[in-house]
Amino acid sequence: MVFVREGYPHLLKDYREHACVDARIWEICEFLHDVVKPARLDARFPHRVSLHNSCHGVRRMGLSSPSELHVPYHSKLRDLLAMVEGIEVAEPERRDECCGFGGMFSAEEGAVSVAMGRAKVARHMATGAEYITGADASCLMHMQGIIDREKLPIKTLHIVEILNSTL
Amino acid sequence: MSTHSVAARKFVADAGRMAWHDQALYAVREKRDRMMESVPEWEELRNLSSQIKRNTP
Repeated sequence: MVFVREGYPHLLKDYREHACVDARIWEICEFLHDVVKPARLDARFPHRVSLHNSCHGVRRMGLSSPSELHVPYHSKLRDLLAMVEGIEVAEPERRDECCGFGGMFSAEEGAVSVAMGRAKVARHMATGAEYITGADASCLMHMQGIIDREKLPIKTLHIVEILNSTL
Repeated sequence: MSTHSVAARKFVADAGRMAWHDQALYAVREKRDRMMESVPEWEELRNLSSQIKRNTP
């Protein structure tokens, strides 16, 4: 998402009209939160979830605030989840720390990537949540890989599946 | 594989050192966050130090 919005305009600088450099490209949670601004969602998800912040989400897209910015904590994901009936939202310790995926980083630095992912999943599990949810599919994929290999009692679920849930 | 990733694999395999390294690094961040709350002119100092960094080749 950040790569499309911030990287493509550099790569495609001669294509001002190209769809990929369109200013109307939004991440779905910021679109819901900042543009659609729904008063209600009619979603129901009676489970305890642990909220996962992706690095790009925190530090490039403003989906939530990192501690170093010295501003009151806010999270657009949390605001959206608050409209879901029956949900219990927890946040892990070190909520703005990386899960260790990082794209090429996970291939180049596999050992560190896995160690960071294990630590992150453990912190999500310590909240007592049944699900880890977030807006970034790559973090969720990385953590689900660790969960599957180690057969851990928690699952990842993209936030849109919860916002669109009528369980 | 880079020399870093080869060395990191060995380091990560040592659970005790890994835990120490993790705590030591995160403690620096937590100290920073605590100081940030206790020093009123924090942002001004941060901007000044940022300018010094940008001005230092």
